[in-house]
Amino acid sequence: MAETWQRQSPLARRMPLDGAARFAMTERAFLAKITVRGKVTDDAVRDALGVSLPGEPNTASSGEDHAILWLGPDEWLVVGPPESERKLSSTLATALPDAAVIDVTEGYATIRLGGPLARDVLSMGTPLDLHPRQFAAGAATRTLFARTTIILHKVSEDPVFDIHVERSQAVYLWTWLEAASRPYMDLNPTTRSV
Amino acid sequence: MMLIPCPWCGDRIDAEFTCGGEAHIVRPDPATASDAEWADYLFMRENPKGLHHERWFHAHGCRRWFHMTRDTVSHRIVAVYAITESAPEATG
Amino acid sequence: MKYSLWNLLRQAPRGHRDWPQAWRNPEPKESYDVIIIGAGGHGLATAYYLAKEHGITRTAVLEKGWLGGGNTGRNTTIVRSNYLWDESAHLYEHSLKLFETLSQDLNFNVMFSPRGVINLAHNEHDLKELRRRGHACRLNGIDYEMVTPREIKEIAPIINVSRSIRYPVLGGAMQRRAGNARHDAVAWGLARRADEYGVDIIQNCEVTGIDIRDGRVTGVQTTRGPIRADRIGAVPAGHASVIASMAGLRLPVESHTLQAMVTEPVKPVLDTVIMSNTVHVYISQSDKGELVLGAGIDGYNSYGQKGGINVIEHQLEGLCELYPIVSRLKIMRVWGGIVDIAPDASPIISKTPVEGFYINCGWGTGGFKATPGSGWVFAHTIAQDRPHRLNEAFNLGRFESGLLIDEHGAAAVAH
Repeated sequence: MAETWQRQSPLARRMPLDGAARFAMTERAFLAKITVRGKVTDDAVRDALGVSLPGEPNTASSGEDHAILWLGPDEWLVVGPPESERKLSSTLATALPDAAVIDVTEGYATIRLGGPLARDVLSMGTPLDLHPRQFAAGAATRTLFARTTIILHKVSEDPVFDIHVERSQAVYLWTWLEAASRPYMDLNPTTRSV
Repeated sequence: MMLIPCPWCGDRIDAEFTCGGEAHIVRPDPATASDAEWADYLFMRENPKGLHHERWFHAHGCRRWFHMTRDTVSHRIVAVYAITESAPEATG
Repeated sequence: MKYSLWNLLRQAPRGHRDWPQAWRNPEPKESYDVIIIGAGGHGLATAYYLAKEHGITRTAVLEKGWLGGGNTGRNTTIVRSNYLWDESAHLYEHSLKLFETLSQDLNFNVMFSPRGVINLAHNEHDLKELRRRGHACRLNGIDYEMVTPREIKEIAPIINVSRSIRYPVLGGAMQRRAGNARHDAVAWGLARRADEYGVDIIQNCEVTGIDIRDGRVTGVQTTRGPIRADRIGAVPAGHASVIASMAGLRLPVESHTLQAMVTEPVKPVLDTVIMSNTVHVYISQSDKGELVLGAGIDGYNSYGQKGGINVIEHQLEGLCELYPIVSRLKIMRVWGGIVDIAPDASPIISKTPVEGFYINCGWGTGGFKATPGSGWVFAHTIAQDRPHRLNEAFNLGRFESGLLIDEHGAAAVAH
């Protein structure tokens, strides 16, 4: 009998951290992730997804269902709702005939961080200045974090951060963040640095 | 440790980059180059103590190559320019 | 004055105040038979063997800083000869043999300690590579045997041989005759004996130019005036390209910062040297009790004797996993030296297109072990104007002929 293919996230066995008042960490499983590289026009993207192309490096633009992250001068990551990667990639491929549209959904896992101490925990792994003045909602970049490459996206000023990380590094990064957050979980949330 | 101004992403720590070594080395025509010319192209390097034109790659960022002129003693970065450009004259 | 028990006793009643200076501090003369550029271990060894083996004593060793203050005083003092290719194995083995009798030869205790060097294997590839190198070494008469994780644990109880760490220890290879020596003592012992032969060691004398007439060297310009000689041997380590450019030459080397560090001193916990290519960690314990640790090179050209902290972090992460006992120790000092790396991780000990100008460089991250051997063959090359059999292959022409000596595996982690 043929085996049934079962989709499993690399973080399926990890318990979310729910210290909402301080620091929360959950997985956003099976988000559609498509890289687009090549000649891309803002009009074509807006027609297809209703979202503009992020104009500046280190930024992302977000619509209701989709976010587009700037990764390089001719490279973007399009993130969509779970299970939508087939439709999303064919929409993009049709809209952008001069670009390479690659479905990397299975290649990346996504971890969402929130809570007032999220910035402090993140600062343990990167020298990037994550102060809201430098890294405001809508900021996004690929960067080196705790010795692995991640795509960091600040979704909102609450703050909420999404980290896209290569699948094989996901468990490592999750346990790293868990360990990094441990000292902060016992802190009074009002003592966070500004 | 250096803070390298990536032309696209801005200042980032040097650990995000890979250094591609001396820049502006011209590849001779392998059909006509002598062994000495080929060895010079492959192996011989200026390795200056002072200003050095070199190639850098933002491996953990935008994944783009660019040129940089840097002092190999003080690590002062004098110029950053596109991978398609030749060395700025003022920096020797 | 000979360093002996008799002289020690004779000096004792005088409160050890009458010991003569170990070497003079001479003014440069107008001319010499040979000028050596660089008073590090290799340069001093060259001057010493020029005098001892070839009778050339009208030699000046010019040093821009102080004697042994460059990589000689900054390395982690490992001596071994477990190299893959015949050319390297013969050269490094010759050097190891010279080390074995160097204290007697120099009448100066260089504290050579053949405590063994273990290379760790963390995966199947490492094991195969070590086996291959072991076979190659034994064919060259060099001891290099495989050891199991259990044997490694017996030799070095502080190592973590658990199977559950990220890069578990699957085995290793050990050269028992290898070990380490006291780096400063090597430089001082060589300097003292060279000085006894009449060699002038001139410190604070930086070479600023090389005089060439009709394709032949005639002397050097220095910060202490011009000095004439028709044979010049350059042994400038990290500054090889700088010196070579004064003679109009380009070299196939690039200079990088290499860092090392020591912990606070502790009671004896490790009486061998252990190195791991894969996790890039190596460790030994000095006689003072400090754990001596070496990091890797910075990935870009540098003449600044300080390196990136991320390189140190990388080394310490691996160290704490392999030797959990060290995680509470403080790092006392971190320093950097400038190493000149050749494309095939092998040195260049060679004549050059400029007549009378000889170059000894490209030792990269591991020149200390070769100190006496390098000086011995370089002295021969300068005295006879042709390389010795042992350094013939390490010529500058190999980059044109393609006869490279690829020792990236055996050059291993920096040390």
